[in-house]
Amino acid sequence: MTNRFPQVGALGLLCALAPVGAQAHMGFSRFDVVEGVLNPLLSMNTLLLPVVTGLWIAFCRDRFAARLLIFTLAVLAGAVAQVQGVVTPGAESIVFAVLIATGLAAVFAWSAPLWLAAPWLALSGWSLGQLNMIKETGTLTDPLLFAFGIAVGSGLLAVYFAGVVRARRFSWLPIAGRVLASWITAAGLMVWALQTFQ
Amino acid sequence: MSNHQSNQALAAFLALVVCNAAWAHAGAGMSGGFATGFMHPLGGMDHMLAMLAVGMWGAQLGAPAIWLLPVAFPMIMAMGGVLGIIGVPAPLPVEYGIAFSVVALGAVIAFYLRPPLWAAVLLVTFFALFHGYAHGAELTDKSNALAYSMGFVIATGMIHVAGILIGMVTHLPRGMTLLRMGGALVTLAGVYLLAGLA
Repeated sequence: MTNRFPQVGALGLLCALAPVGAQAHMGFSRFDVVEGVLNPLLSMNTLLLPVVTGLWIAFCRDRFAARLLIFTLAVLAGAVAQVQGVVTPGAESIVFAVLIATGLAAVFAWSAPLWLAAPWLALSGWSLGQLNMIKETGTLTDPLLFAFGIAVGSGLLAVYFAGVVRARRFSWLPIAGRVLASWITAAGLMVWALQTFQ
Repeated sequence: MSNHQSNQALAAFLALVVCNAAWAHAGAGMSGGFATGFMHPLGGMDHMLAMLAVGMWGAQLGAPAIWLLPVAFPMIMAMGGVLGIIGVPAPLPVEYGIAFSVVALGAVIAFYLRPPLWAAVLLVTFFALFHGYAHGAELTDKSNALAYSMGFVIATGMIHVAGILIGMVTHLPRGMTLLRMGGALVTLAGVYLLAGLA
């Protein structure tokens, strides 16, 4: 199954993005699910956490699907909660904190047990869902569809990167995954410091 | 999934991500911050030579240094960046530290020094602190900070990769001699930079 994760991730993203070109002829001014899927890609703040989470999950020894599911459902829960008015204060700071922690876990290829990883992934997903929803939701036709799209987009990003590294088709892919995680961690650390100390 | 398909999937995903850069206006938003950050390490000869030397030395030492040094460098560089952001006074002028890193890293290649792995990592990360400090002190725009940081961290990584590719010359006849000569040239450039500071 894990060998097919890259296909699932890439095809899912392509399918989700495919209607974008047709929007002009459909009569919709907004296409909320697609906007939601795209939203994590449009900002580094929301793009990097799913990527590094996928990389970390790739280095875990077991329960990949469960870990990915926990993360994706937590994104959905966080985004829907925001729509319902439940706002976590400091979601952006939490995202940076878990970004650094998850990045380090991926760099060291640490296979955390599920009982420890589950709350970690849930916190990551929840805060990411909340952060994604901090935008002008008033212009959306259906914010819940937008929230669903966010969960799909974030989940597919994680699935894709987990699958690419996990498939191990090339011996250098796990190393490339750890290198990428180190880059993300480094960037996250500096921005966290900038936000905290300035 | 075959290797070829995996590459295609990755290329498709990267294309999707990269096309987002064209949605924003150049010089603003995520793409602007990323581009500015990406160009930053490429604009300074001192940074570029030191990072090239890290990759070249890693290739000269072989596995696991070939990937461990470029992974450790950005992580510690980020910690140096944090020190720069906080404003912790540097023990010596940062420019001297950076120029001296060019001299030293070129010299270890030229003399083909093969210290234990921990010592090599320690040496490289010591110099990474100075490079990070300089970057961190210049990182003041919070709005694009993450995109900017990712840009310069990725550019740093790309320069490491370029150094590794140069280091691959050791696989050719007399390649090691050529690489050591390259290290000597880096050292000379470092001496020139130091002389310019005096």
